[in-house]
Amino acid sequence: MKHTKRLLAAVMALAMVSAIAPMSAFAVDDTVIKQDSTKQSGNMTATYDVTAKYTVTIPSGVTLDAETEVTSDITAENVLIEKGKQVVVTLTEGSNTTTGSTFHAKKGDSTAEYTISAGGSAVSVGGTVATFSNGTDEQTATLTFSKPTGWTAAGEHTETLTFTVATVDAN
Amino acid sequence: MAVTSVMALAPMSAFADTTDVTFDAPRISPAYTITIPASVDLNAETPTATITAENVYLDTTKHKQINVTLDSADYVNTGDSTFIAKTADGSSSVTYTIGKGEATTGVKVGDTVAEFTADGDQVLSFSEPTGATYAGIHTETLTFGISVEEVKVETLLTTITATGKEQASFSTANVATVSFSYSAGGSSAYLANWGWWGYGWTATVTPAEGYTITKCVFYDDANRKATDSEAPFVVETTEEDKTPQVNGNPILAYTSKGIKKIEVYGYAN
Repeated sequence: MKHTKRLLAAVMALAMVSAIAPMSAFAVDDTVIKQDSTKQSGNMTATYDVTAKYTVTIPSGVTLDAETEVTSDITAENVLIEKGKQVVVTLTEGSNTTTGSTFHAKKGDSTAEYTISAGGSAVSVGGTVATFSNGTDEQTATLTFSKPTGWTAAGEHTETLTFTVATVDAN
Repeated sequence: MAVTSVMALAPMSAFADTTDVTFDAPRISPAYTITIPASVDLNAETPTATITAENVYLDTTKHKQINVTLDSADYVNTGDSTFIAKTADGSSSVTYTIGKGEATTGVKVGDTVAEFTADGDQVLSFSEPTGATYAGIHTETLTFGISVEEVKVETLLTTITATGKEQASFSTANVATVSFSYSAGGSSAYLANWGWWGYGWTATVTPAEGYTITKCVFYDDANRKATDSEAPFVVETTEEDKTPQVNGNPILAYTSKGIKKIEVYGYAN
C-alpha cells in the first residue's frame, strides 16, 4: 500500500493591498493680484498623489506529498509603488511553529515535520519568502515544501501559515 | 477760496476763517482683484480651480476687459494641451488635461482661460491624471498671467497712393500692403489722372504683422469713394467693365475710371 498521507499546510489570503499616503498640506496662499500689483501673474500647483497599490495572491493551501517535494506560487501583479520601494512577503508565523525553519503539520498527537525554501534558501519563521518590484507584469515567487517526515498517525495533518505583505525600502 | 480783506483801524481782534476743499475723485480704471488658487488637488472626485475677479471697474472707453492667460506650465510647451505632473525626482509622470467650465479638455498653454468685464469667476476643470510609473506625489506648477486689454481705437494707419502700374506710395510704411491679381484676360495700367485702371484686375489690401485693418476707403479718379469695412479689403474690375467695384458695387457706374488712393484704417494689435 502506498504510504502517502495528505498533509495540508494551509494559509489563505488573497491580498489586495492599497497603501494610502496622507496628502501633504498646502501652506501656500492664493495669489491675489490687484491693478497696482507689481507682478501680474500667479502660480497654481497641480498635485496628484498616486496611491501605492498592488495585488499579491497567496495560495489558499498546499498539499504536501510524502514521496516528493511540492511547490506553490505566490504571485504579484500591477505593482505600483514608490521608486526605491519593494513589496515584501514575510512568513510571519505557523500555527504549530513559532520559530525556526522546521514546520509542523499536526493531527492530534501526530506531527509531520517539513521545511520550506524560497529561491533555494530555507525559510524560517519571520523570514522573507518573496520580494516584488514595481511593474505591471505578473511576478512569481515559488515556495518549495519538503517531503514531510515523522508522523505517527495516518490522516490529514495541517498547519496554518500566515504571511504578511508590506512595502519597504529596497536595499 | 474766499479772499478775506481786513483793514485794521484798531487793534486787531482775533480772526479765523475756513476753506473747504473738495475733490470729486473719478474712479480709477482699471481696478480689479484677481485671485488665482494656490493649488488644485487632482485627487478630488472632480478636480476644479476657480479664478475669481472682484472689485472690477473698467472705463469702457479705455479698457475692454481683463484677460487671464495660462502663460506656462513646468513640463509642457506653448500650444500643448496635455499637461504633465512629475514626482520630485522626475522618475514618474502623469498626464492630465484642463478645460473651462465643466469641460476637462480644450485649454492649451498660452490660451486665455478667463475674461472679466465685471466681478465674476471662471472654473477650470481638470481630468484625472493617468500613466504613473511610480506611486507618490506628482506636481506641476501652472503660471497664469493677468492683463488688461485696452479698447482699440481706429485710426488712419496709412494712405496708399497709386504712383505707377502696381506701384504705390504709403504715407506710413510697413503697416499694410497692396497686391494685384488678375483674371485670365485681365490687365492693369496706370495713368496719372486715373490712377490704377484696366480690366479684370483686383487690388487687395492686407495688414502687416501686428496690425488690424478695420476698413478701407477707396477713392476713384474724381475723389469719389467707397468703403469696405470687412476683410478681405478688395477693389476690382471685370474684364468687361473698367469701373472699380467694392463689394460688387461700382464706385460710380460707367463713370469711375480708376483708383487713385486708398485710406487704410485700423489699429496696432
